[in-house]
Amino acid sequence: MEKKVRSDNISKILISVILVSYSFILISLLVWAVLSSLKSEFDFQYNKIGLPKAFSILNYQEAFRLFKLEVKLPSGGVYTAYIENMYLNSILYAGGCAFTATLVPCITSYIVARFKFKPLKIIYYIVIVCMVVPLVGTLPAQLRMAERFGLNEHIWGMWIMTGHFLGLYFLVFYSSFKMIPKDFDEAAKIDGANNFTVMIRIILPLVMNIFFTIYLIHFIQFWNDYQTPLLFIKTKPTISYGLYAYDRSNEKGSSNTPMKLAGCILVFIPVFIVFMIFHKRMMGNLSMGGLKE
Amino acid sequence: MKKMSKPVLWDALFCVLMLAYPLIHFSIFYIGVNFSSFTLAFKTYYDGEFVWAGFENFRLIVYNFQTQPEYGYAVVNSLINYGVGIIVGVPLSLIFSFFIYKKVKGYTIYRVLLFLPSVIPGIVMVLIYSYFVERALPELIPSVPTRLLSNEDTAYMTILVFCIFTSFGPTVLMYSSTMSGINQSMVESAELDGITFFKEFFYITIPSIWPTITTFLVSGIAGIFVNQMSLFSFKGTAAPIKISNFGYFLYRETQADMVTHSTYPYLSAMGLAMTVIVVPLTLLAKFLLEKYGPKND
Repeated sequence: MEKKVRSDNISKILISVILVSYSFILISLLVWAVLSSLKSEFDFQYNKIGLPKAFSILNYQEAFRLFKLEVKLPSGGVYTAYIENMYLNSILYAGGCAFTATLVPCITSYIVARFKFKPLKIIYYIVIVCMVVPLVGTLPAQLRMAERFGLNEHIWGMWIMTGHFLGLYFLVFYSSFKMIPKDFDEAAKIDGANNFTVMIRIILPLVMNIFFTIYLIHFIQFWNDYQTPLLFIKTKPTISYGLYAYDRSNEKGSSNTPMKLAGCILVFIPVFIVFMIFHKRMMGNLSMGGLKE
Repeated sequence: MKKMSKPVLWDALFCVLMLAYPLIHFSIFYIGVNFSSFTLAFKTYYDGEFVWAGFENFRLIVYNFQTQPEYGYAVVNSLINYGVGIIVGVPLSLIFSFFIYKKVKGYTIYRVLLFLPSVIPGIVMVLIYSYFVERALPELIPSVPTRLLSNEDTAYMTILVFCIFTSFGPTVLMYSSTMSGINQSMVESAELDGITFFKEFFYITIPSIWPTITTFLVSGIAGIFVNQMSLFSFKGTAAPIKISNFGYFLYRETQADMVTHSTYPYLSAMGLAMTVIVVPLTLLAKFLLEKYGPKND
C-alpha cells in the first residue's frame, strides 16, 4: 500500500512539474507582452525583459489611432475602417456565425436522436463519413459558391455559410439528446404538447448548458478567425483581421514592437473578459462518443 | 403500401420542416461545393472563363513536384507536424486530462491555463510569441540562437513548438469531460485492489475513452494537408519554402488570386489529389484503431 502511495505521488509530482512549467511559460509570455506594451520604444530597445522605466499608456493611444485599414470596395471606392468598426464587425460576425453554427447541429441532432424514422440514420452516417473522409482544397470552390449566391462581402452571408450540421458538435449534441429519457416527450405529448413545444420547452432547455458552452467556444473561434474574413468579407474587416493587417502595416509609428503588442492586447481584452466571466461554463461537461454508434 | 398513422405523419412532417434548412445547406455547401471543386480540377482558366482541360492540372502537379522544392518541403513538413502531434501532443493531452479528471491539486488552474491559448486569438498568440522569441529570449538566455524565426534552419522547429504549446485546450477539455463519464464503481473496485495512478490511466481510463481518442486521431489524419501550423500568421504570404506546408500553400494561393480565380482549377486539382491520398489513410487508421485499439471489457 505504501509503495502504491509513493508511486502515485511520484507520478503526480512529475505531471505537476510539467504543468507548472507550462503555466509559468504561458503566464510569463502574457505578462511580458503587457509590460512591454507599457514601455516606450526607446525603453524597449535597451530593456527587453525588465519592468518599464515608466509605465505609459501612450502605445495604446497610438495603437488605437493607427489601428485602421484602408478597404477597397467592389464599386472601386475606398473607405477607412477604424478599430470601432472592426469591433462591431467582429461582434456581428462572431455572434451570428456562432449562433448558426451551434443552432443547426443542435436541431439536426435533436431530430436524428429523438425520432425513430430510419432515413434519419443517414444523416448520422453523413456526419461520420464527412469526418472520416476528408476533402482537401475546396476553399476555391467555396469562394466561387459564395460569390454565385451573393453571400461574400456580407456578414449575414457568413452566418448562412457557417450554419451547417457537420462536425464534432453534432456528436456532442447527439449523445446529449440520446441520454434524455423518452418518457419526457411522451409525458408532454399526453398532456397535449405538440412536437415543436416538446422540443422548445422540454428538451432544448435540458441541453441549454451544452448549447451555451458550444456557442461560447464558437464565438471565441470566430472572433479569433481572421483568415475567413480575409477571403470572404474583405470589405468588413474584423478586429483579428485588422490586427493581421496592422502587424504588416508600414505606417509610421506602427512598426515599433511595444505598440504592436499594445494592438495585440486591444484585440485580446474583449475575448479575455468573456472567457473570465464564462470559463466555468465553457469548460463544463462536453463529451462525445466515438465514430461508431 | 402501409399507411402512416396521423401522429406518425405529424412527426414526419415536423422532421422534414426541421431538417429542410440543414439539408439544403448540406446540398449546396457540401455536395455542391465538392462537386464544383471536383469539376474545377479538370478545367483551366482561359480567356476569362474556365474550360475543360482533362488531366492537364494533374500533369502540372506531378511536374511541379519534380521541379519545385516547395512541394517536397510541404509534404515533409505536413507529415512531421502530424507525427509530432501524435507522438508528443496526444500523450501529453491525455496525461493532462487524466490529471484534471483525477482532480489532483491545482487542477482547476491548470484546466483554465491549458485552455487559455485556444481563447487568445491565434494572431495575437503568434505575434506575442514571435516578438518574445526574436527580441526577448536571446536576452533572457544568451545561449539561445538569435532570430529563431527569421533563420530558415530554426524557424520550422520554433513554429512546431508553438503549435504543440497551443494545442491542448479543446482536446484536454473533451478528453477530461469524457473521462468524467467513466463508471466510478469500476474505478473504485480497482482502487480497492491497489491499482496505481498510471495503471489506472493505462488499463481503465484509456480503454474507456478509446472511441473519443479514435475520433480525434482519425480527424487529425483528415487535417494533415489542411493544417497550416499558423504559418500565415507568422509569415504572411512570404514564408520561406523550407518551412511551407500544404495547408498554408493552398490558403496562400487561394488568397493571392481573389480577382480572376485563374489558379483555382490547379488548386482544386491539388486538393483532389491530396484527398485521394488521405482518404484511404484515414479509413485504414480508423479500421486499425478500432480493431486493435484497447477494448473496454
